[in-house]
Amino acid sequence: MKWKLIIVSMSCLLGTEALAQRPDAVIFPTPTQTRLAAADFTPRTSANPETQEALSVFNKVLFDDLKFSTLFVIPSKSFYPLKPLRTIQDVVFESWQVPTLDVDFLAFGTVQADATATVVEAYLYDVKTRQQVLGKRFTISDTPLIRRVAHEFADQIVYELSAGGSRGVARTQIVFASQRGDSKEIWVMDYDGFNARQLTFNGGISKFPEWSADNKRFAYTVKLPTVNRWVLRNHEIDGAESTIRTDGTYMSSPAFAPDGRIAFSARTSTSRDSDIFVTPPSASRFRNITNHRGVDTAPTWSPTGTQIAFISDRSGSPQVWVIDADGSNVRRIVNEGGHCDSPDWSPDGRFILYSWQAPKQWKHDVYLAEVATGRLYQLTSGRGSNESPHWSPDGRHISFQSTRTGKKQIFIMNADGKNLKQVSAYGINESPSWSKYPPE
Amino acid sequence: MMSKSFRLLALFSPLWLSLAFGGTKEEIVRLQSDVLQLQNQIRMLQKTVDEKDGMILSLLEQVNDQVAKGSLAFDDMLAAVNGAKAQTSSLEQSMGAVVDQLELLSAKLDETNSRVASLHRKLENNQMQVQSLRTLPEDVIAEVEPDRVYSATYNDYLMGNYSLAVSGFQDFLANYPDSEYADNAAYYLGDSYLKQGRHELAIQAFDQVMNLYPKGDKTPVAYYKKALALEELQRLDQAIATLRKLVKLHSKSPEAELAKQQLEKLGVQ
Repeated sequence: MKWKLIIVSMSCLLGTEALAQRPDAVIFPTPTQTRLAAADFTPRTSANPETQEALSVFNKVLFDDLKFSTLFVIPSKSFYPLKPLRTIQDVVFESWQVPTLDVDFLAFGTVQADATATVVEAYLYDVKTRQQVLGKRFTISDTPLIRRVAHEFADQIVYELSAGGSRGVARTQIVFASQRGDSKEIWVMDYDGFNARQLTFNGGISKFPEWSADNKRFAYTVKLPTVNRWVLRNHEIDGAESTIRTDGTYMSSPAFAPDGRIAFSARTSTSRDSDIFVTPPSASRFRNITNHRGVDTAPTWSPTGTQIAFISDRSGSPQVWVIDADGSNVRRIVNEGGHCDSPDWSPDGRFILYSWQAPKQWKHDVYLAEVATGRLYQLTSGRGSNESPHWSPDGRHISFQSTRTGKKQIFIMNADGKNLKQVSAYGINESPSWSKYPPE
Repeated sequence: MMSKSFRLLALFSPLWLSLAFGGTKEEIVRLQSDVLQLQNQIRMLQKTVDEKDGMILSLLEQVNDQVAKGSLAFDDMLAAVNGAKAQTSSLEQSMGAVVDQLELLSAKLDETNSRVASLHRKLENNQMQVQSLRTLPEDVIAEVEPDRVYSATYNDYLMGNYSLAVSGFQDFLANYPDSEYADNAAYYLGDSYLKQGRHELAIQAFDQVMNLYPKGDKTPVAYYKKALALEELQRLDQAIATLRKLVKLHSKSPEAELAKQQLEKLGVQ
């Protein structure tokens, strides 16, 4: 079979003509037209300083979460009626149906903080039927947790209004490698860049963190200062770690299958060069599934764990290949020359994200390959090198590292390449891995 | 009626007097005959009058009966009207409830209309999108369509929906036998059967791949998967023969290496 490759847009960069299909038409084939308004929450009783502070955080986080979800058309707040909404009696539904707004749903509520607790009452109403869709009351003892409450309410709105199609990404996290001194450690942050905190303190060079399918652990590879070899570590959420070693000196790019198996690339005593290995969870038996001349790296599992995509230079230059998990049926997905890296399989199975350095170019950009047909779509362009792309759990967003603002930093964007946001700023940050959905 | 008879007698009384005092015998006889005739006529008149009286009385009685019946009917009607008035009052209450329900229904109808309008807008958008697709050059559509069908079916296979994948690949091969994805579709049809445990059908599908696309890139893996299906059916001799043929015909394929490992597992070379 011949692969038909279509490079979309960016004709100036690639010297190819833009073709009919756009990435957004492929990724979001049914454009959403649900119109949602998120009115500013108001003080429930008194506007004391604690309440004002909590309100300013809550309103911004909720609005940003909903806007980033890509599921709604959210009219500008400047069109909203001026009357503050505290209870349903304050809502004049007609005023939310004027042509400049014409919203289908309205979120509103109250926040009240005092020295001991913060209470949030949050509502979502169907403006057309005037029926309540959601009514929630959150009580937190620590005001900084107000961000989490806003994220949770945003996810509940997304879940309700997407008819269960997405559980929302507002409570997801991104794990990444960060150099903020001599060592490179693993850090984690909320998807929007807040609450960043260090998870490893080994003093070595830690790289390629990757979440497990159940969100309870992540794996990464590390080379400690005193040891001249790389090992793979399983890091549990509670901080416990276990190590997987081979008899070789190099390991990289761990990836979890849905059933807990780990694929990784390694150079061992029996492999002439780097190959893809698979190990059962908590076992030290490895199976070499590529076992072929040429460097095979960066494995990523298909959503059902039956196939693995990886990078191989067996055909000359590093390209994206796919192999069945039993080692059969190897085939090339991308065949464009240049240098491909860091594939990541989409949650719905249709696409593989990767970065590609075109021949004679100095930088990478993020691309999308349709697995069945090999069609390619370019997602990033412009300044800096854009690498290590990774899907969000709902398949509607992508994280990646970029030097577009100078040093390597973490960025997120929609899966069609729009709505770009930088979410890290301190140190040098790379290899982002977006978590799965949080436990229900 | 009686007063009318006396008036007739009074009319003829002067004639009687003149006859008594001045007429002849013949004239008297004639006059007597006339009187007799007149008496007969009077009797007949009396009889007719009596009959008419009887008829009038009868008619009056009938009218009275009718009036009486009408009166009864009127009473009944009156009772009915009174009953109807009571019912009307009850109906008015019921109507009030019905009106309330109608208002509710009307509100719901408005809402439904609003939703229908929204759906209509969405439908129009979709139609516009379909229209824009239709306006693409025909050669583009002809080129894209099999790709999309294959892509959707392959995704069913990839996500483990093997029943859907089987019917999808069958349809694809029936509709696009000359597509560049036909060899892939034939192979994945076999592998979908294999993953469903339908080994005989899998073997047939893999044979199709080998026969129809002997130089296709899926042929080595079709040999390998056919051997696995034969092993599952405990037809080990045939499995070994298939693996050996794979090693011989496609010695440089990755599947040839897997075939050698499999032959070792089966205790043969």
